[in-house]
Amino acid sequence: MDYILTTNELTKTYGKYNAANEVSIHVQRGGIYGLIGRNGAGKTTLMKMIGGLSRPSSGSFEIHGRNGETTEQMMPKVGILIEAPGLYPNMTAFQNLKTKAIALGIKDDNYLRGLLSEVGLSDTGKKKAKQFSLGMKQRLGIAMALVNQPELLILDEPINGLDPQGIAEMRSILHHLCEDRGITILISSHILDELSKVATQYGIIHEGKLLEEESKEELFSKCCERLELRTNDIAKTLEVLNMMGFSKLEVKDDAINIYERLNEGGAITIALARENIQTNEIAVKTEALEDYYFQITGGSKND
Amino acid sequence: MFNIFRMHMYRVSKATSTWVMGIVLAAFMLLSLGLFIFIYNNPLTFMAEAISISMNGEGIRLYPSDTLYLFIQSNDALLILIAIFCVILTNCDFTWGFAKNTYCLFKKKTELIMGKWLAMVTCISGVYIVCSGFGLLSSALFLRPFRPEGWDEFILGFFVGYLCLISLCTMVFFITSLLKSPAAGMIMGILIATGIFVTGERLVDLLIARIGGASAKEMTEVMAGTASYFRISDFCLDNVFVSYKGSMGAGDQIRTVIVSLVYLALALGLTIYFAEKKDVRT
Repeated sequence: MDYILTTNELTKTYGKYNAANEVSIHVQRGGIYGLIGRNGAGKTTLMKMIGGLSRPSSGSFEIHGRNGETTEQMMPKVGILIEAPGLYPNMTAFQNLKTKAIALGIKDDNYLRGLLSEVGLSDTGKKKAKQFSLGMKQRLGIAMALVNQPELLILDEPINGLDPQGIAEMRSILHHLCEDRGITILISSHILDELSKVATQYGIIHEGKLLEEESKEELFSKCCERLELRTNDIAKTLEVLNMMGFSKLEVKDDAINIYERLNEGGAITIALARENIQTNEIAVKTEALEDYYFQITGGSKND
Repeated sequence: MFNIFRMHMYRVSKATSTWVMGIVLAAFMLLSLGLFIFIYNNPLTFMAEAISISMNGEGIRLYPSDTLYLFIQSNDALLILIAIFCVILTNCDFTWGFAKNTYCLFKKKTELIMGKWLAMVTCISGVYIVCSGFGLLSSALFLRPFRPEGWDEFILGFFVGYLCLISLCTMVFFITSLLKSPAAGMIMGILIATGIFVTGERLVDLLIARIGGASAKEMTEVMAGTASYFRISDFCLDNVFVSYKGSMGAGDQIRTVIVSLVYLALALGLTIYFAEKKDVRT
């Protein structure tokens, strides 16, 4: 697997409190990694450590296979937007970009104008950043993060507080950056529904610990509709299901989850009966991403 | 480092506070000049004495080196302005969170600190040169007792006073960077500029002399700086700065340079050290 970022038991401690506790994530190159967790779960802490804004208490991380703590040349390949965008309010969008560009030795103003156009801010002219809407500030924040042509973009809650149109624009920008420019994105949010529309990989973080890390397919397989089948002989049941042509299935604990042809419950029961297999339970089950998240973290919607 | 320096200079050039500061500075200089013209053209010689103007039988004599003292060292308002300018320059990128954009680019923070410090030094140098030039020119044009003699004193005073001022500004830079608090930096600047620290240091001098068994006369000498007792204030940067004049003896000149350099190195070194150790506040 080609990982652009891996963390190895990354830990950040404030006094006795572990804000991030031995977190090991694996971000595949070219994808969008969604970090799911409620407020205070440790998402921002983790991102700050990877983004070079905070020193890990222990553990390490690698970007492009190089140690993040010691490699000097690695950081310019990372762009960050952590919490609110860092902008000078009395400067225009272009001047804010130019300020960062000077720090990097970039002199090409057309490149900066291109970035503004990419995030839909090319027509802001002399309007100062303090007059921008939240959505515009977030988009400018992304443009700022893109100045150094990063291969890895770290975005912390970029859709927080945005209206539906702002969220849709942000989604479109993220897709563009990932698909057209090949930038890997590590994005955090507690708006699970939105995250599920963009991310290709997920990490669920809770109270500083990474609880699960899985691909979109794995996660959705756990969340989408399925036939849950319980019998007295799982091995024989699998043989029968194979003979019937079922391939999208998995065994979990004492149940078999079937993800296709959900309307064939009756046929399955008859086929099993012919083979003298007792069907204890067969039902169509659905689990939303949110339900799954609460199940994993041990919380509830009212928490 | 030079890219960071250029970045801060670009920011300063676009900041409203820079132009406000420039206007306020110009107003202060003109007001200071008006005050001095008033003093010199009136028989208030005791005031002239109070601000340490050289006198002899011919009346008030103002040497070029005195203009530095009058327009910079003894100008509380100007020092407060400079302190505010240092604080704004030091803390602005943290106030607005812009530091996140640069701190994520550099693993070693030395470049970031040195670049910003260099930008501060450049701005303060500009203020110092303008104030010195203004003082010199206005003395020559408007103050009749101005004597264009002793240029060696002036040049020495210019450079040693400059070193001292940069060292003081670096202290403000350090406090502001460490505490990430503009208020702390400004309070420190005001305490230095208004001489509150100096008063405290001189009180410590007197206590040390008293413990050493100094007589009342000797205590007066300690206050005047003529006694041979050890004085802690001689090694305090703020006191060294406000007491400094180009006409001082070689020993005092060397002490001023050494004290300034030590404080400068210490403040800059500690700023870099803490920047490496501390997380960036977002």
